[in-house]
Formats: sequence, structure tokens, C-alpha cells
Amino acid sequence: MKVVRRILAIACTEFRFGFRRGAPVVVTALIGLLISAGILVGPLANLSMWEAVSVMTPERIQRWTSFGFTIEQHAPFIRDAVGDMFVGSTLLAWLLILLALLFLPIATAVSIPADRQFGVSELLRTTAISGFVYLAGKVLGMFATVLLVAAIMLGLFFAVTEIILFSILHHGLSASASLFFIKLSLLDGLPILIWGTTVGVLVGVFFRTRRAAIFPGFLAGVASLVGWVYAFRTPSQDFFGMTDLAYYYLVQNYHSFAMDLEARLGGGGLDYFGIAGAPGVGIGQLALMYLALVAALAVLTSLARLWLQWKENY
Amino acid sequence: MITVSQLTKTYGRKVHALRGVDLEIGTGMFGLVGPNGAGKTTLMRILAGLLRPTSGKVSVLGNDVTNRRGKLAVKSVLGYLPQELGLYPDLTALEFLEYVALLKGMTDKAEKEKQINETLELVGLTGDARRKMRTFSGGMKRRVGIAQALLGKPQLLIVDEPTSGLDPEERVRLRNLLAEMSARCTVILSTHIVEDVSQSCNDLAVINLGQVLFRGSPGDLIAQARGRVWNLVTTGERPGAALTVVSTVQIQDGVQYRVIGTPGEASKVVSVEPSLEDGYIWLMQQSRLEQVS
Repeated sequence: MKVVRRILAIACTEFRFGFRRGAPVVVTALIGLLISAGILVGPLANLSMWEAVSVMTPERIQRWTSFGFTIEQHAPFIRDAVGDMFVGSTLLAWLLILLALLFLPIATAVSIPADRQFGVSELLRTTAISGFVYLAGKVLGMFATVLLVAAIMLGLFFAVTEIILFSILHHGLSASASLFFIKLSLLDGLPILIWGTTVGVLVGVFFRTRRAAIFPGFLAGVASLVGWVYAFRTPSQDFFGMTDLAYYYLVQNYHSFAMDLEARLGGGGLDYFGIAGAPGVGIGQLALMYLALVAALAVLTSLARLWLQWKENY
Repeated sequence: MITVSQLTKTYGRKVHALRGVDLEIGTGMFGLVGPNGAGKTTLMRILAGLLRPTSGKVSVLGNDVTNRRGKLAVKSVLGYLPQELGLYPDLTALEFLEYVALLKGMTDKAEKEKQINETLELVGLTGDARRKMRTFSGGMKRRVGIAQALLGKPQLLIVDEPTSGLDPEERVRLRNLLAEMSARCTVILSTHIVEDVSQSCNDLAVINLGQVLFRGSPGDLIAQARGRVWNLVTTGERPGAALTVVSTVQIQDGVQYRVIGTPGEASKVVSVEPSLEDGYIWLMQQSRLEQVS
């Protein structure tokens, strides 16, 4: 119990610093803003078109019924079609979250060197905390800062999207689009934020000053980005295939009423996201991806712990 | 009880910070005196479990600090004020003490608050507890350092150069505080200021170049210099190189020197009662002579 309390004490203090010093807050907010802006560009640019399409005229009713569809199907079709566009924009914009892998380690690498630079490190080592407790507290505190800022940014963005859609089209996002966004945030965004934050904090273990840790933090970011895209590459070779397995898995399993209708209109399968012909990704491969991440973080944490034991007698 | 046996610490291959130190420290207040670079801080840091010794044995309150379990056991009853104290500038004194209290394993909220308030009161920082520490003077930061060391009712209190940066009034207050603490726990005071030890310790060791030169009471150290401290008045010329000048005062007839050593017969000298500082300087003088020979 004391171990948990000590980890939380370090985490709370680090969380406080996160806001008082600001670097992780600024970086996360910037990445969040970029993603939000990227997602909103598509739907907002075409909003007037969707507004026009959603208004039923006698000609449009005639055309719609000529395909054998009922008028009742029109409203969910429009809602899901806007949702599909939102999902498409999300996918493009989500590529930007990979920037978190690049920039978060720079922002978080200063955490442990700051203790040394302020001269607090020696004082902390006189308390009965182990190297693991210290590292766990630092990572947890830094991650809490990043997570809170990311949640605020994505929440704000979601609210703004809903307000705009309601004010113009008189409906919000479709359930499938909203669910897709939430799943993507949890299955892909969260692991990226965890990795970026943790790697940064662990890299900082090896440096005495904040300034000295920044460039290694950047290198760790580059290595993370390249390693991530390579290790978790998707079977599809197109543009979306540049991201990772979690992202691909969600795209592969995305369905909407509008997509089904369009497929029926087109008389065959619809390759809405450009993944036709590529082999599928199962939940097992996704689990392997997370397992590999956990294993890599465990190895890095062990190395950092050994370093603390050797250099600072933790 | 602290027992140090044949303790050595080497940095790299050339710097021998401690050379076979043997020491036993009982309860009460113990003074560790020596010049800068003598090895005091290294010894303190080994006792606190912050540094691994190169060789030798160290037992602190029955725990071997060279193994992990013993080290953690010592740290759980330790209060430590490092020589170079750093604080988080973005935290208030209160936030910092709460943080340290939690790290020290103080989980009872009421007890934690009570102790924090008591220590803030003891070091005279109650009114400034909610100010960020970036606005604190050097002396105030030192007092925060002392407060954090006192948290958790430590059984062993190690204070390394605690009076540096404090004004005379604060120094006296701190010495009294440490003396009061020594009734409840073992206090090790490491300093190069002999006056701090003379006013508060009943047991001390003098260390130089990584070796213990003296171990005993302040009275024993003073006795070593008895018959070797003199007041010497000259018309201006300085005493010979064989004498160590402790103080120089301009008087009406010339200059009065307080010296340690053996003055020549022709000199106008008066034997005086030595102080602890005289005893310390005599010891250092002998140590240097031994090195030369």
C-alpha cells in the first residue's frame, strides 16, 4: 500500500509540474489541435453541399424512389454519409497523432533530469523509494498530464463538431462514426501517447540536465516513429497503410448504412477506404501489437532501473 | 548504533575519498569535523545509503547499508539534509513537505498535517508555507531542508553542513534544535565550522584526507592543544613559519597574535587556555607535519 501511495505522490507532483512547467501540455495541445483541425476541414468544407442534399425536393424524391429506396431511408443515409466523411477525415488527420511519437519524448525527457538539475534527486533518494517506484511515479504523472490535455482537446473538438452539425444539418454524428472515433482514440491514440510519454521519461534517466536530454529525446522520437510504422505496418500498401495495425483493424471493420446503400447502388463491394484486396488483420494480431509494446516498455524500464541502481545506488 | 569498519571509497582510480575508516557512533549528537574535501560528505552519503562503498562494512541501526534491504530499512528511519540542497522552485514549502512526507511513508493524513505544521513552526516558516520556493532566500531554503529532514520522526538524522547560508541567529536556533532532537534520535552533524560542534556535540571525530585523525570528546581534543596555544605580541613582524596563527588583533603596543605551536624563547609569549578550534587546528598542523615527514 505504501508503494502505491509513494508512486501516486510522485505522480501527483509530476502532474502539478506538467501544468506549471507546461512543455507536455503545450505539445499535447498542439497535436490535439492539429488533429482536430485536420478532421474538421473535410466535413466543414462540404457542409453546404450536405445541407443542400439533405433538403428533399420533388425531383430528388423521384430519383431516390427510382432506385427502390423509401423516403424514410433518406435521413439515416444523409446522417451516415456525413459520418463516413467525418471518418475519412479522421483517418487522414489521425496520421498526425504519429507526431506525438516524435514530439512527446522531447517534452517528457526533461522530467528526471529536472530533479537532478534542481538538486532534489539526492533528497528523494534518501527516502525509502525504489528505482521502480520513482520511474513509475514519473511516468504516471507525466502521462496523466498528457492524457488530460489530450482528452480535453478531443472532447472539445467532438463538442464543436456536434454543435456545427446540429446547427446546420439538425442532426449530430452517426453512432457508427462516433464509435469509430472513440475506438480509434482508445485503441490507437492511447498506446501512442503511452509510448511517447514513457520513452521520453525513460530516456531522461540517462542525462543530468534538461538541455542535455532534449536532443536524445528527439532521437528517441524519431526512432519511435520509424520503429512504430515499420513494426506495426499494415498489409495494405496504400496511403492509409502508412499507419498501424490498430488503425487498419478499425478501418476494416467500419460499416455504415450509407456505405451499404452506396454498395448496393454500385452493384458490388465498395472500397471506401482503399483497402480492397489487402489481407485482413485479426484481433490476435492487434493483441500481439500491444504485447510487443508492453514487452518493449518493460525492457526499457528494466534498463533504466539498472542504470539508476548502478549510477545512483537506488 | 552505527559501526563503520575499514571503510574505503575511491572515485575512479586516483581519488581516495575514504581510506580505511573505522568509527563507532552511539546515540546523542555526534560531530564530524574536517576541512573541505576531507571525505565528510562521502561518509555521510554512504551512511545514508546514497553511495556504495568501495570496500568495508557499514552497519546503521543494525542494518547493512551495502545491501538493498538494509539500505531501504535505514532510509525508512532516516532524516537527511544534504550539503547541496535543491528544492522545486515551482512548489510551495507546504506542497514540498507534503510530498516528502508521502515519500517517507506517512500515510495518516492527520498525523502528516500535524507533523508538517510542527516542523514549519520549528523552523519558523509557518507564515511563508504557501509561498513558492523560488521566492525564498538561501536561509529560508535551508530551513525548508531542515524541516523535511525532521519529518517522519527519524531515528537517525544526518545533517551535512546545515548552518551554511544561515545568519547567526538562525545558526544558534538550528544548533539548539539539533541538540533537542539528539535526545530522541542519533544526530550526525557534519561541518567544517568547529564552533557548530563545540556548541552542541559531546562526541566527535576529526577527519582529513579520508582518514579519522581524532575520535573522542570535545574536551579530549581541547586537551591535545593544552600548552601549545599562546598569545604573542610583536611590533608588527609575523610569527615564524613553525607557528600557526589563529587570530590577529591590532593593539596599542603592536600586534597580538594567537598562535599554536612552539614559540622561540626570545618571544614575548603568554600561554593561554585552548578552545576546541585550537585543538582542531593543532591536530591539522600535526597531520600536515606527518605527511611532510
